[in-house]
Amino acid sequence: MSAPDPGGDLVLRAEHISVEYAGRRPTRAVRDVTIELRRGEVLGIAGESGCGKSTLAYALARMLRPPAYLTGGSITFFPGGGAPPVDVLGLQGEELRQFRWNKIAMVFQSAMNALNPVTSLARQFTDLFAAHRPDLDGAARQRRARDLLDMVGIDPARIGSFPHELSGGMRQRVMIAMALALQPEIIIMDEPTTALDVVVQREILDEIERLREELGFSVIFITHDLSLLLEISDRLAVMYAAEVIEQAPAELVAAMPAHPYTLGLLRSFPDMRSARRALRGIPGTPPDLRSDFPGCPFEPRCEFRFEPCRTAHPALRPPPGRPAADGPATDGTAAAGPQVSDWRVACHQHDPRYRPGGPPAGLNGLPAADVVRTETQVGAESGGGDA
Amino acid sequence: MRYVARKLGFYLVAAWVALTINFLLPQLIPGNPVEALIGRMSQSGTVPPGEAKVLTALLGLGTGNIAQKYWQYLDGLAHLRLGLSIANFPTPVAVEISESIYWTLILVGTATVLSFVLGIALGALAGWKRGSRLDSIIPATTLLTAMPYFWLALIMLYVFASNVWHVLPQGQGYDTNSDMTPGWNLAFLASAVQHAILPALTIVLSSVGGWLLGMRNMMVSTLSDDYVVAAEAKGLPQRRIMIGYAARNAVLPSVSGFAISLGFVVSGAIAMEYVFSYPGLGEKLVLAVNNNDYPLMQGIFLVITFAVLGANLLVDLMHGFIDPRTRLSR
Amino acid sequence: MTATNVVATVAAETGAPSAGRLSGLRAAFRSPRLLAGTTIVGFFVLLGIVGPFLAGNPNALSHTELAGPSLRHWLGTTQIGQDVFAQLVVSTRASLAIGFGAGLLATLISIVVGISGGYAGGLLDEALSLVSNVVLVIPTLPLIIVIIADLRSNGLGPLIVVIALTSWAASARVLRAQTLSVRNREYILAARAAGERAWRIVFVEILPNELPIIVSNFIFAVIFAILTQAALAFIGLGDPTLLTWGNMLNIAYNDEALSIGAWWWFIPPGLCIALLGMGLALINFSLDELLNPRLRVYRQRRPAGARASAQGSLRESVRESAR
Repeated sequence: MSAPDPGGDLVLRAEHISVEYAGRRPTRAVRDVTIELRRGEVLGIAGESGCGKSTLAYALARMLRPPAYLTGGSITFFPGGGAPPVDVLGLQGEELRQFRWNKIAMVFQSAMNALNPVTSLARQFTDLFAAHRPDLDGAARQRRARDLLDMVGIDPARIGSFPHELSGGMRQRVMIAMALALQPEIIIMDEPTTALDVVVQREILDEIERLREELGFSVIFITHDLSLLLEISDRLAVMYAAEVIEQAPAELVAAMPAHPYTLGLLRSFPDMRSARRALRGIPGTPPDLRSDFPGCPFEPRCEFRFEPCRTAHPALRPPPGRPAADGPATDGTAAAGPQVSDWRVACHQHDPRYRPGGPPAGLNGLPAADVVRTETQVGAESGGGDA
Repeated sequence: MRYVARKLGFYLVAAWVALTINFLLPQLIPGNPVEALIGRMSQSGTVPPGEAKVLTALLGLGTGNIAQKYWQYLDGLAHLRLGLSIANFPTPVAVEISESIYWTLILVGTATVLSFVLGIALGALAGWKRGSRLDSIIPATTLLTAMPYFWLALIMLYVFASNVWHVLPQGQGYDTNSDMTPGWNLAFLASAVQHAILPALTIVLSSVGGWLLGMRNMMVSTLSDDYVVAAEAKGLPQRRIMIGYAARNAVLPSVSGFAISLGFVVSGAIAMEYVFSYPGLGEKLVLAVNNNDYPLMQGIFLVITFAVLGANLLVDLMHGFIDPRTRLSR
Repeated sequence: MTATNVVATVAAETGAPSAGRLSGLRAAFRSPRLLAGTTIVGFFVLLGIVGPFLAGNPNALSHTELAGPSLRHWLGTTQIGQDVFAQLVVSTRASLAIGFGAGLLATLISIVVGISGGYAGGLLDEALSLVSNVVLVIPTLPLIIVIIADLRSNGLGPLIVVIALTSWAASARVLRAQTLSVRNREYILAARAAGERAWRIVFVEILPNELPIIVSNFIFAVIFAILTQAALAFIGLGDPTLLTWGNMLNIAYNDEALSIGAWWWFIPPGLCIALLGMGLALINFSLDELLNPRLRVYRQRRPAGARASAQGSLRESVRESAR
């Protein structure tokens, strides 16, 4: 993956986002989440089913529908080329309509259902152009649509087909083509390859990577497949119980996870190349999001829990001693401009007030024997070596 | 093409079943119907020779075993030997039917199309603006759909055409008191239209609710479908989403269910025509029933059934056109 | 007259979401429509059972012919001085009996045909489907008219049977579709693998799941039966001595009630039919919303602090007031 510019400017910042599903007992599906996306980077959002990742994605794209309601937060979009920042939540009416898809596009989880079953692909593309590029005439729209199909590896002659005439992989490619149609700056991908077999999955991911290098858009990639994210992301955000509990550079987090949950995730899937080891799951189940937790939401299942965990809610702060963790902490004070802080974790073990001596083994950055490593990490550790 | 062939095949089977039912039903008639019919006919005039034979074949009571009777029946029908009407002896049944069929086709056909289009459009709007004031007319529409057609017709007549407010004609297909002649002249056509207003209004009012409710519910359901959400995410204009994405998909069950709905409309129209003395097949059928005019009844039953089958075939073909997925289905 | 069931039938066939939990029934009873519907239907049932004992003699002649409503005759009198109100109340019983009877029979037939076809599959299913579709597509009233006229019988029994025989097809189609989808669920496959006998599976596993749809179909069938019988009575088919709403309308019409303007005679019977039908349709409509969560309009208030501008929804405000 291409190295992101560590000093790269922000393209999107979402602060203190909270989403609630109305009901007799409302479900708080996203709790005070703050994330930032840099221009040209791939931000992966990982977490198990029900942790709030898709809801977060929909909130960012302003796609929430009743009974889901945004109950707090702000979203700011920073367009390239020096244009002023945009308050995404403040957009209304025609402004909102024009913002949609032009700046932020989305690739949905099940492509079949995201395409209109009774109209042809051509028509669905031209609808897009008619809505956003009125200057293009009919012939130009057709041409552009065929170009887009070609770009994602589909025979342009299929432009007249209907969705049910295409295979699952092809439909997903069509969705990607549509997402790219207006050349947005951000593409949110919600489990785009979950429903596909691994071979097609690989092709699609390679395609996405290629297009990203060519066109330079940023990606928010959401999936439960952590191993996938480790490969393709520049930075990773791990969600648990509707909160972001760790945010870190993807290259480094596998070798030195800071949060016990991240450690647990990493220990729970095998790597084809490393030595055989026992797999370990995480005992227990995720909490009911209709309740509130005074302490840390992961506490009941955490092997590193200690006294403050039950009563004090940990905030996201940079863990001391990690590389690239020396940016200013986000603690709600107004920032002077886009801040860069590469590593943050919400865990009391990394709080110097509770652990002046640093976190225990396993969380302290020393490589643990039972953690999967990608090629890059192994190579980095041994200073270049086996492949 | 396979879709068309399959549909055609099905409707041919249905038509054959209708024919066969028509053949078997007169077996139920107690006594010797042919004799009774001839007897009544002869009271109104001379019965042409061979009429008994025609009637026998028509009612499936011919000579020989059942296969032979069936053959005689089909043969008679194919030659349009439908018998003579008793109520209006000696008019042949075929003539009676051909006189009335246009009235019914035009009235019921036009009113049904109008009702369907109106119901679908209003239903789409109501579903789109779910929860708004438009939704609160739903209880009113359920009341309308539960009203018997003929009773609504009575009320219509009472309100618009008689004591209360004499604004529209009281019945008939056109002004039979004047000396205008039926045909393609303006006076006749104008009168015909004027006389058709109340019956058409009755049909529309009674049936629009069903389509409205169905479409409204389907629309509401479709609005949470992924492609509608996606269309909105793409920043498409509201109008395009409502029509091209939501309504276009939501209307499909209404088209598929058209067969059932059309059956109701036709059934309701029968008694309604009777109330309005509208010179269509429905009124004739009621007349035939009250006169035990079996030949006329059978003939009208067949004609109405075939017309409905034909309409359904057309709608089914249209469904295949609108929904590309059905073209491939088994 | 088609109500929402026409669409519901097809939607069920195209795989709409399956029935929700019955615990939602409690929440559903808060729905004003369901309450209204059940109240109306309950009223008529009560009227049918108890009314004739209280309403007086519908056949009694009097000398006040064609009189409007008065204290003595709440709904006026007929052309031969009979009390319209008494007739209306007494008619309720017969109209309801025919309606519910034919509706029940039709529903039973549709259960047998629909579920066995859907479960058995193969040739039996193809055959039963074909039969259902053909019966569905042939217009019912003309067929019923010809059958009854040929029978020359005025009996109640034949009437109920004939109505039932022509109206089961739509429900059968819905049940077949539902059975097809339920059949492949894992617990059914498990039961079959365990050797449970077919009829047991059908009665114990499948039927209870389809109960909500069966109830909905039954209501639909009752509406249809009542309207059909009324139409038949109106055009002169059926027992002329049996007091039903349709019969009342027939006599009223033939006795020139319309031209005389005796609205108290011909409006109430039809109104009863319409109200009862509306009550049943309201129940059905509420059942639809209960079964299909997508149809529910959200009644919860928006959580405090929710920003109106942050909703990406098509309509920025959702009405929460009672419908």
